[in-house]
Amino acid sequence: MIIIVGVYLYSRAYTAIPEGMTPKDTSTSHGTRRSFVKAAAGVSAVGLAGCLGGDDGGDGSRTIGFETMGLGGDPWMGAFTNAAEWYAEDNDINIDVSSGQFDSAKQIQDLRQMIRQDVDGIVISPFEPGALAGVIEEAVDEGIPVFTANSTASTDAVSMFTAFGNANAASSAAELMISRLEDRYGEARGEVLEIVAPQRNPTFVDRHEGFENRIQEEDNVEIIEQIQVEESDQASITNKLSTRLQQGTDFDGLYCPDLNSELGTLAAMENTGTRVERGEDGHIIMTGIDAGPNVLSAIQDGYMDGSVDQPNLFYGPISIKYLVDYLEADDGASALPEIGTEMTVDDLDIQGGTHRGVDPWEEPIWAPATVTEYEAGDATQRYFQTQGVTVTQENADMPYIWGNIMD
Amino acid sequence: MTEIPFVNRFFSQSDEELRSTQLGLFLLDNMIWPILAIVLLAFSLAISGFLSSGNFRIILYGSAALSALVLGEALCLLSGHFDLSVGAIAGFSAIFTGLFLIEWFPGTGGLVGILIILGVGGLIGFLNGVSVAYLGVNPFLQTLSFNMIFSGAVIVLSTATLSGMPESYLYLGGEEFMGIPVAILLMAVLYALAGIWLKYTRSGRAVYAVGGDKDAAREAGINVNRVIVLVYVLSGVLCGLGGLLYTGYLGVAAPTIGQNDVFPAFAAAVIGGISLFGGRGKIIGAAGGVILLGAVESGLVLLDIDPTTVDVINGLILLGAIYLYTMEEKLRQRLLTAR
Repeated sequence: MIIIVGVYLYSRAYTAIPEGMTPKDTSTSHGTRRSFVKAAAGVSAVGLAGCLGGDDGGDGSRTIGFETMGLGGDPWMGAFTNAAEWYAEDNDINIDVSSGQFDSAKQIQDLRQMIRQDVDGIVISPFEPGALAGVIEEAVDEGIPVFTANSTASTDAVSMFTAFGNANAASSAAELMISRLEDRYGEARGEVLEIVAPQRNPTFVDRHEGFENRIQEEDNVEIIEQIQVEESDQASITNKLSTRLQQGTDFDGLYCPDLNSELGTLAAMENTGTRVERGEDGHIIMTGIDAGPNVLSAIQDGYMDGSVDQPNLFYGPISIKYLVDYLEADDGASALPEIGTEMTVDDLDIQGGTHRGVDPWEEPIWAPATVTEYEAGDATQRYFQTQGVTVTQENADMPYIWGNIMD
Repeated sequence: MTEIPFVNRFFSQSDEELRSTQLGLFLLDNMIWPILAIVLLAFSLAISGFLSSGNFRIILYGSAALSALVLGEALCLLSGHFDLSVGAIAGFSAIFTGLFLIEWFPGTGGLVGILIILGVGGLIGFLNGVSVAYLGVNPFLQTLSFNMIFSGAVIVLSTATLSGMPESYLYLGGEEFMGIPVAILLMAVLYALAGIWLKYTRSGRAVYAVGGDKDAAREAGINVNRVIVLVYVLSGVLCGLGGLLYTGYLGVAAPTIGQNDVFPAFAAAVIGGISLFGGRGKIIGAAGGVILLGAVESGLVLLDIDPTTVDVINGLILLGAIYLYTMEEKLRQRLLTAR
């Protein structure tokens, strides 16, 4: 029994990247991965897995700590992280990447380590806004400015928060759903099934509320059922959705709040024979958030109507650019865009080299951005709100979508 | 000669008492099935169409990949060992083979991919077995280490979901034969073969013997170390198979494959009557344990139960099973010693 409980607690607590591995160990740049592949031909992969390190970037004088929400099994976060590493490398900035493993305690530990290392600044995507506020204030007290990207923490100590916003993305997914229902019925009406991801994660709270709030604005569109998924792994989601879809597809549309739920749903549709192309009888209108490689294929093939994506390849670079400007300015805050302004490509130019055969920042899909005040709990902070991208059959093959670069 | 009272009593029973005792032992050995029947009946009363062929197909199909891991875990448990790395091996072998097929050596046939994924799993299992059997490493620490190493290695290899594997590679996990998913048929055959092997072959019975009493097995001429390595290799191969079935089921190789499967693999085996301490249990019971977990999950989804409570419910089921099997052991002793 003790063993079982131990195994259970361990399997719940453990999130893909072993404790004890250093931040370098958890870096996963694709260059590193290729090195691994070459080496793996002759050497046991086991030994290499724990030994490979990430690239610290260039030899610049600035060292930035970059804390992701987590990497394990999340390609979106992987692309977000890779883009920051590429930008730092291209612009001669040292970057130390750590994975928070989707665990606030791990993120706090990582930030304390960065403070001890005396990095020049920190960019972080907090897992939980409240949990990270204290350690961010500690960093700022030590003279280390903190910028947030993708998600933020509820403290005034954050210098700037960069994101399109999960609620906005969910609202855009709802817009697309409504638009497709109008195409089907000539008016906005229909019944929708919503997949709800774990609500202990504020990202998913926003993605649920953003969708629900926009749908509720329509009198004749109704969310008839919410399927809650707890796990992040596709197999569990596929099982749940298969069970539901097998009972019948007595609804018009289905909303998926993240990449895993999109992929799990697509697999469930295939397994239950309910995956039907757009334009054919029985097609379930499917919209979601996050356009990873396999989702793009499903959109191009017509099985999925569209997915809203955030300009994740820009989040890190924008944050790093302003962080460096902040560090170099006499009065740090003066280097940041003023609240109330609209930022265009003329105001901000994110540049770097070629990665994976393309320039990931060639198309400034973040623009125009608005700079406003963001209320994070009781705190307010400068909010660099980018644009998002609604990916449909028309633009699914565009190289500026991270799923095409990372494929 | 040593007196063994309960053996003497057993053989001194009348025919009627013997039949009664045998029936009692049979029922105790197969407790999972009435439990499963009760659970299915309860859900079918609460949910219309729960026992429909379509829903049952989904339950079995959705459990097929996990059942491969459970079979591997059950073999380890029967031999008196356990394997905490089953999920990690499944995930690593799936991602490793996925990359092999689509990035490292594109154009490689699906059959080669199947051999690789089973081979990777088997190799890792072999390393587990050698460490435990010949180096004397504690199985908990050995397989815990491998769990960490290979879970981490998955992320090193790829954070992205891999697609574009050959159709033949996805066949076992993703296709149907005469309207039934191949994965279900395959696992049914494998469980039957494993049951026959364990019951009717010398090497199979050696697994029980080693699990029951290692020293006694050694004195009986069984090469204990070889048996331990064998069960870990089989467990590894079955984990590779689990990775293959997951890949076919999902149509892609996701880095999340197997990452939450350690607990369900243990739970299904124990609920199915496999002793945590080795030497006792029927492999077919482990199949019943998998189906029970799948049925509970399906029922809870259809009843719209908050998924955060699913783990609690699964834990309660496991606890119930442990109490039941503890009682069973006492009942067994009582039956064997009854006059």
